[in-house]
Amino acid sequence: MDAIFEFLFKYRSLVFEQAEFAFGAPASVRLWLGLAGLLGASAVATYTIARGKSTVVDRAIMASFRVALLGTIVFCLMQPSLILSTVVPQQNFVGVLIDDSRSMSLTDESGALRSAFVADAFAPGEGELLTALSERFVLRFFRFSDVAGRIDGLDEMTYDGTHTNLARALDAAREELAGVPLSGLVMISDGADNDDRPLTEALVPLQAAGVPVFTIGVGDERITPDIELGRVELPRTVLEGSTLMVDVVITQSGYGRRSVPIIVEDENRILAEETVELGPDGEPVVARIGFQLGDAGSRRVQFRIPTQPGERVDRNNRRTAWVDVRGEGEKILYFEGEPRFEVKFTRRAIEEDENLQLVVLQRTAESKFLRLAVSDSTELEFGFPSTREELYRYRGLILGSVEASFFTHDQLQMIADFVSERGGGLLLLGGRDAFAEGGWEGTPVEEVMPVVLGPRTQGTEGYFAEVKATPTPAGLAHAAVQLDAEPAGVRARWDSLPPVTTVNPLFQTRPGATTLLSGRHESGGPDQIVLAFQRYGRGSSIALTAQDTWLWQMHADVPLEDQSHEAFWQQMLRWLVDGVPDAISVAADQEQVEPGEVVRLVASVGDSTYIEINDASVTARLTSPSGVVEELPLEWTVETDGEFVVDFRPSEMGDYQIELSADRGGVALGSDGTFVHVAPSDEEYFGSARRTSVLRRIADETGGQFYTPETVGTLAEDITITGAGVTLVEEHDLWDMPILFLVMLTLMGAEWGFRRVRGLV
Amino acid sequence: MTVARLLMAVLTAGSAAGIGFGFATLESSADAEARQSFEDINAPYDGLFHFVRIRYSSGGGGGGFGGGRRRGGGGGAMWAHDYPRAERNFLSIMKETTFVDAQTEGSNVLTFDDPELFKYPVAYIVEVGAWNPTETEAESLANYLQKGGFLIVDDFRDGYALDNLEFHLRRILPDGNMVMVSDNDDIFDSFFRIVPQDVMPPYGGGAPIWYGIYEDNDPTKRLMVIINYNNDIAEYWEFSDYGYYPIDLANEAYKLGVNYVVYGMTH
Repeated sequence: MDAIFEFLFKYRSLVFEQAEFAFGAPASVRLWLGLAGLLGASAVATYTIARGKSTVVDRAIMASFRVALLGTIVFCLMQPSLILSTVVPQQNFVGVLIDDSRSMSLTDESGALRSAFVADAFAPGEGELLTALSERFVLRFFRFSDVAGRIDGLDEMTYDGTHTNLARALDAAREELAGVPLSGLVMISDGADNDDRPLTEALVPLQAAGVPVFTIGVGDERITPDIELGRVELPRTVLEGSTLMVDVVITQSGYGRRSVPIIVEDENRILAEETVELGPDGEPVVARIGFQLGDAGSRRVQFRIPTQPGERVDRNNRRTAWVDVRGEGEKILYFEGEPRFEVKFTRRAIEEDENLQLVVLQRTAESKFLRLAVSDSTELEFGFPSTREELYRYRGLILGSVEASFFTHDQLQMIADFVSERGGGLLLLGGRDAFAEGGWEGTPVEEVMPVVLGPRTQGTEGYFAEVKATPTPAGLAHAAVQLDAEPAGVRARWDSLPPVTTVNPLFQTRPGATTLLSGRHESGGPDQIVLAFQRYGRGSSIALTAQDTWLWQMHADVPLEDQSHEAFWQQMLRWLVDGVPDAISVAADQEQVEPGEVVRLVASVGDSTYIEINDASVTARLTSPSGVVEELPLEWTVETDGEFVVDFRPSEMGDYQIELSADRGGVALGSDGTFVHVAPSDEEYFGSARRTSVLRRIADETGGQFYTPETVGTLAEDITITGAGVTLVEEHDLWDMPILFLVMLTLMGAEWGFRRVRGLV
Repeated sequence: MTVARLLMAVLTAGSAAGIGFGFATLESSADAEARQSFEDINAPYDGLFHFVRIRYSSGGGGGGFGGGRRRGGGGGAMWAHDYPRAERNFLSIMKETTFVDAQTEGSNVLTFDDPELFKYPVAYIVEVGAWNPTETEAESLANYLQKGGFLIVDDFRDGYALDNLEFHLRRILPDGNMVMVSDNDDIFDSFFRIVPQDVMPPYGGGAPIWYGIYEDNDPTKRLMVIINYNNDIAEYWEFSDYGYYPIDLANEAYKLGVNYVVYGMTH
């Protein structure tokens, strides 16, 4: 198509896009237009005056042909031309950026390595692209992967980079060539960027500097046949004994409708194995896998799909993640406003769970409290906590049937802040003094609730409903309501449980909240919300509106050996405290790196009331796999209150243990720990198909062009007319374009043909 | 349901009283009638605390030693001793002193093999010297206790009655040991601080002793059964408004009952 265009219009379309159009005739355009008008009028007059067999319509058509022909001739006589800026040969620089990551070692469908294009195109003395560029520009070469740097020759390429960071590559080249006349950058890559930094940050400075980027995409746009374990998301920390429900995204090409196994392993132990039905060819599927981790400590979990017959890339069939399994007991405060059986049975349900400590403050009468499972005699000795420091010791808070007026306004605000600022989990149980029936509307806690409070119902005519709890689609996929090890059995387990009752009519969740269990009335009517949750600030809130979940344990229809009630409450409370932050916490920006890669440690530092502290002294103590200890001070980021960072490069393979401590004015604030795992990375083999859209975007947004190895022949010439740097202005005539000659011939032939048809010759 | 019908049910049930220490078998037609009668008067489950009195047949086949004794001559079934005034008075007092949201109109009367019992995790039984549960009742009570139910045993004395109780509890919970409950147990401090020795029995005779069966025979775990041996706190409840007994003693009986209920709801 481009060749036809160039034949007809003399120049390539890119020239027309870049150039300005002008007429080269010396006289004014008005004079030429006047002459054209005279000629046209005379032609029309000739046909008007003429007599013979022709009709008025015939004469009008023939006059139109003649006027068009004369107009074309006048257009040519006006000497149309293109005014184009072209770079001065050998006066400008071009940076050539070559992808040095591992994905360049993949083979295409033809069997050729992606890096083979680089070797061919830039072979000294033989490479056509190198020759074409060298004739016009001074070249500077760069290689890039997770880092970018200047190279003197292709022999420095390794194709062993563990990441692809396009933005960093563009930044490095722009900064390196900032002081020279730069016509553009040429980037050769598969575009499989796997860095989190947005490209825009690198493109804006290039746009401002007027530096176009010419991208050359290598590799297949679709790798087939191939299966890839796309995304596996695990929590960084879990409580010992927790059941994890993990969604695994599987993408595939060429294996549509097949069944493949997914195996989950902890070191050398198989934790779970599921068979997954793949979707239609090319469509990803999400598989849900449940499993339990072992004892407390840092656990390596690997998900893998065995290599399938004929698969082109098998190193993207596995994902590894590390999970910190916490062994300590998570403290939850359960405040119940009236003696009722939920207290007893909830305590019983979790009593075997060593990782949960349910501290109960049971109001038994006016100003009379029963404390259960407290750590010492002073805990809760004055009733419900009246200070943030006291309340924030707990990671979760359960409010039973207790009226809002029991609390002071400060305590109500404190409960709301417990969720939003401390990041704790709040569980609100149903009861005669819960939700609207407890006067909670209009309090700071109402905002935190995941349900919309309705009008208050009270008295003997109050609301009372028996509902059958049923998991919603969201509930079926949520760990808290998984009562059966087999996903298919979850609904059946819920169906087997007896109904529960509620005295709080709740039918609507807040925007953003999710319902996990809905309650169906045997008599019909709208479904009652039984279990719903929402994120709120740093924490989350959960509403469990039933008043007697203990019936799931005690009811005559429930077999003695049934563990549904125990499983439900253990999962509920584990979920309640899942991900609740500590006042001092540290995490690495990457859980796995290769030796020499930069790791950023990010610490969040607050006091016992979770107010961020910026003037703390924060130190990370690193212990390498061989036992070498190093201490690094962290610096406050300034942008975020309480956030401290430090970078380091691990050099040994294995696990680095990191212990963080913070103090302020010599007073210890707290400590936390984490791990960094140093091991070979397969990251480059995920999403490794050529990403044309990324490369095209870089070119489009900087004024460059996108090429493939097949179309790269015009690159050097294109840079000369689209590039920046030292340029000169050239004028290119258009009057001799073949298209004009063809138009004239066509018009003359059309008039002659019309005369023949009409018998006017 | 009328009061007359209720009385008929009580009398009918009482006539079936028999000999203990054997296994009762089939439900008699009188029992069936009584069951139906109480089903009609029992309050339905509504989420509130309901005082549940266990009705049992002390008659039926079976040998063994000992027999059901009816205090005060004929007329009342053994299970119905102090019924219904005792629990009515107790519920009123408990309502006044605690935040327990209770049904105060009266108690529900259920048998151990009634599925409805499992909606009420605290149950009360008296005069267990005459108690002779059927296999079905025994099995159901075992389930009830192991699931989390709490049984209060009151109003009995004499060694043979204790032996009868222990015999049947052993049938029901073969691994459960009946042990003496320490004065420092949580059950004596769940609402009121109670000195057990201050809860004097309304009648003379032996000193009161509190026995119990702990879950897994572990005194740090919950009591599944609390046994007021040589005592009768319901006697105080029933007649507290008659002036038969000193107020102090009646108070202690009420306090102990409140503690039992609060304990049963929290432990």
